[in-house]
Amino acid sequence: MPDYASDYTIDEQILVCIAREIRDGELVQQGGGTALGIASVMLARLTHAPNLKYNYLTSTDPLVYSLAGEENTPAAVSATSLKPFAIDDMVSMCLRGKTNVFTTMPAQIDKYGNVNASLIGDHQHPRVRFPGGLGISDWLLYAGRVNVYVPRHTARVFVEKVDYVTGYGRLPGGHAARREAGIPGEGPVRVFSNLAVMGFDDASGLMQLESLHAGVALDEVQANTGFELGIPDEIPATEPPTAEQLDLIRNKIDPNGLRKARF
Amino acid sequence: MSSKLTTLADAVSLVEDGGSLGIASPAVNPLGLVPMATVREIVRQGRRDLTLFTAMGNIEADMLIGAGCIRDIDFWGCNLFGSGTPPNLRRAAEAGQIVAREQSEFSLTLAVLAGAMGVEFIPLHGYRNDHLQHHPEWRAFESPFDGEELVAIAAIVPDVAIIQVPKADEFGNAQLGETNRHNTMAKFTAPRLVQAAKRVILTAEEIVSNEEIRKTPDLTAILYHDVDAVVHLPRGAHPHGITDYYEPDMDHIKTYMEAAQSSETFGAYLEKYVHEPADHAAYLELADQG
Repeated sequence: MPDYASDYTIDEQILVCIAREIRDGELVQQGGGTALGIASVMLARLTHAPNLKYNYLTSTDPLVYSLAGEENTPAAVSATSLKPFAIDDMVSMCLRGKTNVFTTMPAQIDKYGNVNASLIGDHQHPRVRFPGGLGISDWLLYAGRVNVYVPRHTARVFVEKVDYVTGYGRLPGGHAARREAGIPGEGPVRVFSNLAVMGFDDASGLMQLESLHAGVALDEVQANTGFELGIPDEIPATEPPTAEQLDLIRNKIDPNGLRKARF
Repeated sequence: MSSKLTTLADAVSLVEDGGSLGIASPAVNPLGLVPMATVREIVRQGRRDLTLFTAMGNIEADMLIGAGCIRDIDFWGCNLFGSGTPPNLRRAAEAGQIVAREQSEFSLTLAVLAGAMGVEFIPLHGYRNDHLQHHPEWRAFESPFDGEELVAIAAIVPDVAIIQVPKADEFGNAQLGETNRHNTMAKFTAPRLVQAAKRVILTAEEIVSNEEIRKTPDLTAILYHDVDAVVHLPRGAHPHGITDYYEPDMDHIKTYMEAAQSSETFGAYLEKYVHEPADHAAYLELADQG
């Protein structure tokens, strides 16, 4: 039985959940935009996945284990990497199936896992124009698996249908159906919110609950989800962070709490 | 090779109303090569109805939009120094004054590469999202080899591309600088956009001799035959920075951000910093006063 922590925050729970999704030896694509996403890669590499490689900023596999201070400048990241990469390197490695995992935080996600990071409302007169999806469209098609996280689980984020499909979601029939449609990657596999962990039913392509975080009731999740969430017969509790993971997050990887930005 | 040295005002006359403009702004700040002085001159000369191609826009895109120069923007994102959607872009898009057409990192990269290679398109397999609805120039087709359904991502060929570089000679051979040796993001996007464009305005921190360029040929990223105008413009990226030359001017960026919050205050900003200064040197003097 691992030495589970009892005193942790929700950002730490989500960070640990995402880290656990990364398998040893995988190549992870992670943009500079989400500190929590980068921290999860660092945590995975310091614990169960010492052989993972990751693309961070414009470098492949920098030996950087902290978001703090000098160690995390673009120059330092570049100086310890295998190779600084150009954007065409990034595109070609992913199109050839080398990139295994990507993590993103969209503005909306719907029951099929389509994500929106572009706009709310109509395309010609959007009510809100977001900064834009960058590579989200691409990673949801071409990376092996995608983790999605949502700091605030509300019915405005978890919607029946996204206003704009920045990143393409699941299909009925799961990975096999996407393959048949010519899409190489599995797409969104898990969604981590401040309330729960969700996955997708392969047969229907629909989002379903997988586990509840400590202290969260089922009806709280349902009341804050804008569509009918699949509910399993038995709902386990989300595996909490271990004392070791928490120590690494707080004292080595992210002592300044950058992971808490959107929480 | 013939000298292409000219003035900024003459160079910008290459940009025509209703044409398309490519800005070589690498995705990663502050390793920018952002041609801000050229952008200000485009605003000063009152260009209208431009289509803007940019990857990751910043103040340069936001200023052109706020000044009313842009009809539509084709981009993968705009994020003002990590503070979210640039204010003028957001206001104009939400009011329906511009068309903000998004595409993805992969499609834009391949579209510019296609432009640089002189081919009409590069195909992507399994490409699905709502960007397709807003890019009628992209076409679905079957691979002639195995019948796979592909999307032809049409080449981007801007009428004019603009870029600020550390070093160039009078012919337009340009280098991105020692530190940018590792900034391969810039090394790809900027030269490819220059190759894709019909005309290119290159502004440089330093004009060096052709002999000087030949001492470090591995740093040369842009060749003379792709360049139409060369302008010597120290601090031409201000308030952005140029690696090894100057840092971004965060005080001025704050001034910009505050001004951009409404069209009235932004109009006053343009008057003060773009229209009133006689030239780039006068602008810098004013900006340095804070």
